[in-house]
Amino acid sequence: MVQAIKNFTSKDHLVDNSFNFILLTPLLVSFFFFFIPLFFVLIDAILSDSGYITFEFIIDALVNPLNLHFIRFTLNQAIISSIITVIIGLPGAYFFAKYRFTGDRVLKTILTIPFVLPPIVVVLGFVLLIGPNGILNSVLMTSFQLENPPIQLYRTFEGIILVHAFYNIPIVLHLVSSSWKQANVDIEEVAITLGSRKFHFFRYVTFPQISSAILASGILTFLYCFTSFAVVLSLGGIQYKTLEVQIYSLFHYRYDYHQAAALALFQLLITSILIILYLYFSEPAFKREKFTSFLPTVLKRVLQCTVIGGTILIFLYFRVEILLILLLGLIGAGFWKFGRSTPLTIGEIRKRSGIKLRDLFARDKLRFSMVIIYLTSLTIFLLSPIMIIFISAFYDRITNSWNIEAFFHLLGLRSEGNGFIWAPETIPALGASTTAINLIFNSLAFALITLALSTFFGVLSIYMIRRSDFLGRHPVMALLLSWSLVLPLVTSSITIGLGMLRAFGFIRISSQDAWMPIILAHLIAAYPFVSRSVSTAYNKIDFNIIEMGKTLGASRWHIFRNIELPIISPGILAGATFALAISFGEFGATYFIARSEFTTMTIGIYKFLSLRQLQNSSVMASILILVCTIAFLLVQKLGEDEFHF
Amino acid sequence: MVAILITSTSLVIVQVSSSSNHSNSTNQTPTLTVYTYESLINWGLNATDANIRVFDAFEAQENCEIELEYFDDANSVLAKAIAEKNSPKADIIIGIDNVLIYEAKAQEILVQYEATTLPDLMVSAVNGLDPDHYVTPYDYGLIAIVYHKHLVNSTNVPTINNLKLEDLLDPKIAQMLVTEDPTLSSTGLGFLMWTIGIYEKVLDKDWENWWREIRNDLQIEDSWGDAFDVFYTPAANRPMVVSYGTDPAYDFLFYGEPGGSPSIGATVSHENGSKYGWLQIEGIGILQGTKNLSLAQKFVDWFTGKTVQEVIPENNWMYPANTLAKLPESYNYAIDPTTVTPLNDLFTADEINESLSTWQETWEHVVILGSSAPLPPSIFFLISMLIVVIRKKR
Repeated sequence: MVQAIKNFTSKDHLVDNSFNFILLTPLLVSFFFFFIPLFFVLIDAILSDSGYITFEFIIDALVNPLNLHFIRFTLNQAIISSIITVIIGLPGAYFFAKYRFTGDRVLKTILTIPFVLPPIVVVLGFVLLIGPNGILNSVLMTSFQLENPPIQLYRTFEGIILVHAFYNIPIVLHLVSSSWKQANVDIEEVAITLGSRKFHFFRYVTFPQISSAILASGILTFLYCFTSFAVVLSLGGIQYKTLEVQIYSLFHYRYDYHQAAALALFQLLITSILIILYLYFSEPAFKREKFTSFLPTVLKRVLQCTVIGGTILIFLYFRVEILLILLLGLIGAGFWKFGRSTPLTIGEIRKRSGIKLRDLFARDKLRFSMVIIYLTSLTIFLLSPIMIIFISAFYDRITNSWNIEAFFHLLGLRSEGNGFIWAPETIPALGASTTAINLIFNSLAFALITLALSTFFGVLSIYMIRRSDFLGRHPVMALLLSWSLVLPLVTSSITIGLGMLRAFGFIRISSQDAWMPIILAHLIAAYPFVSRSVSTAYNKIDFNIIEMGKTLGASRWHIFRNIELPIISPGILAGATFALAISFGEFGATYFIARSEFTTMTIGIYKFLSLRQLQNSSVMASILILVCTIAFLLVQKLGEDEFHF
Repeated sequence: MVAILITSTSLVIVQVSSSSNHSNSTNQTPTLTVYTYESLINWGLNATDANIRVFDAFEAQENCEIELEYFDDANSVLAKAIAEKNSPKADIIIGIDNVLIYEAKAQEILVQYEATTLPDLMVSAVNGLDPDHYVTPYDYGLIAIVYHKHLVNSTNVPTINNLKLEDLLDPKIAQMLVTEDPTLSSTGLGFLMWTIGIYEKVLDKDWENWWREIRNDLQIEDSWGDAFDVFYTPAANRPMVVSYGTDPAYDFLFYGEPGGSPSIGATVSHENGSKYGWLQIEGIGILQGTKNLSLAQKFVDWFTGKTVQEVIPENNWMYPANTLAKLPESYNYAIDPTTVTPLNDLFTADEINESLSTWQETWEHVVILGSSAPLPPSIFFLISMLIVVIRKKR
């Protein structure tokens, strides 16, 4: 294993020049369809209307008290969301790593589904569950004779945090439990045999091994919450807006492109720093690199002080709650002091070890009941908003009756005489000749194309980062490339949509060909997931075997087919599943580009919602959730239950 | 290999599903692409029929195709048209109102056109929207405070039949009202203009103070649709909403009995003995870069002509701009704009153009920054608990 990591930095001569060229394609796609549009939007931040460069817009945007208020809220909610998410998720990660029970892998897979659901579906679920007219509020109001709904989802800080936790707990579950599973069990046993106290052994043995994963999941959650858009837009009201929402309303309602671009630039800066931190903690290969080795010690100290001091200054400037700064400092200090022994090495995933839950019952009843209570409540929390959607797909709110007709009606099945006839009806809200079947077909087609292309690009991009030498070998370069792969995940698709129009608007695309930009948008959103997933699998390859194969005269294709592919295929599979789910759920860019012929299910859900047709949107959302669930269970069946975000 | 296979089959699926939609279109007939908001002419008893009378009839008359692209609201329509400024894809834009017009003109996305129906259109609507004829008005309506008659009456709101803006400042009344965010909704913006007009122009007072006093009692939603949902949710306890003066007519047509009266009422404000209100005027315009200029001009004439204008009142719920159009019976219950002094006339076009974004920004400062702290105390409690727990562990 150590050999493999050593090889990561050594020159690899297996790659010939023609292969290099193919390797460039993912980079080119990112460049043309992500970075150039981004550039076209962000240039407004420093370019005035008369064409000279100025920093006036950035300064104006960052001293405007209103923007300060929103940035402050964004940072506050992101910090609190990520801390709460990690706290709720950690016990689950531990239980999934240490205990075995029938269906544990299936349960873990199902608990991943919230992460890939489109925000509209999630908001729909929460509104049905705890909205003003939601089930929980109705039950509480009738049973306690209350006049007002006791649970407030709209325009409350807690509501936003709740939905963010729902979204991001799967990240903590997966990242931390897989690293906890790999934490060195042998040392654990020795330590316990030698009479080490449990807490001691956790502090000195386990914690240093899992600290990176905890930090990585926390930072990733922070990133997603920091750039949260649809959830805050629909729940936040006028008080609570994230930076992303404010950028959107400046672009969309105020036509103040300079201020919007300045804020977008600021957001890009913050997310970039966090992505680099995330990569540092999540990729062992990066953690080993000495990025600053070429700097003298004095400069390194200066750099450290600037980073820490700068962060504190930023927090103080945006008046993030002082308690939060303290808390963050405390957590940081804790990780600094206790988490700094040997960084985690990626070994092959250990054989499924762990205590059987049944044995635990015999040994420790208290702990057993704790595990059961925790897992049950987590499952209820993560699945009830989803289940409620299924339920309301069969419930008509206008007539207060249960029926299955809406389901058949939307699918175009009508009973006539003895049998069913299939005649889908058009949905006027979606376009002149669009039926629900069209939507499902479009979604499926987009998802399959995205799946195929993103798998291809994802695998290529990993080769690009890991294997080629035409971009230089410096770790900073590899870090930059990885950054360029993660950035699309946290950049708003509305910004990219606008950038695409500005950069490539001169190309007239007939409405029949509007699917091309949609696919591109889906591809940009999806293939980073494949890359991340493949990259982790790729770390497991023993490079000696490849060298050996090469010496024995195997062709490049042969090596790939027989050595690399079998090892990375579970990673590809997991990544492809994410790609499928992302494409199914993509909303912003599709909505911006799509003509009525290429409407997808997500847009259908949105349109039904805005027409207040709750049952129809629930039916649509149920189909979408079902497809995602089946895809995930299939992957898990085929042998991979570790997803990488 | 598998990837290529999947790609190609999926491409076929897309092609098939898209070609099936286009089977009936031929290349000979000219196509007019129209950008508009999705509620346009969609609020009547029979929306499909109304659309046929407006769009299909024109298609048949001129032997052309109309491709309608719907957006969430008029703002989105304009945003899309501006984004496509350098490579326009649409010919017609419907829904530019007397506030959006300034941005539309500043961005130079429109073509001037004097409709042949101009002599028949209401002069004040034409002048109030755009005297330069980049946009031609097709309807107009008053922003009004709309209320459920059985929940709001002279017992709990004594001045309801003679309402002043100042009466709303009473916390009991303010807590009944739901309005829209003026930075996101045109109805909400109309209401903001209403308050500015009354306080700055009529009463000569500071409009910010009105908002400062009411901000904590008022409920503010993102869009007119959301606000209306709240208005119709009994549990929300908000029986007053900022909406349009034609809402009682809508209520009468849909739910009223013959000879009865609508269950909801509407009012503008009564200051210094006369009625004042803000008029929203909506217009249709031709976009720069259109390939079918003469057809687009014919469509503007058609849309402001008598036939379409008589569809507008009971399907778009605004007064038709064309004076030849007859009003339906239900409009007896709407607030007649001619009986109200439009606050619009108290502002000059330049004034609105220059100050609009300042007003919106000031509103945000007053309403958002002045309200309660973003972090509720329970979170502080939770965090301090956490700190204690972590300290103990050490």
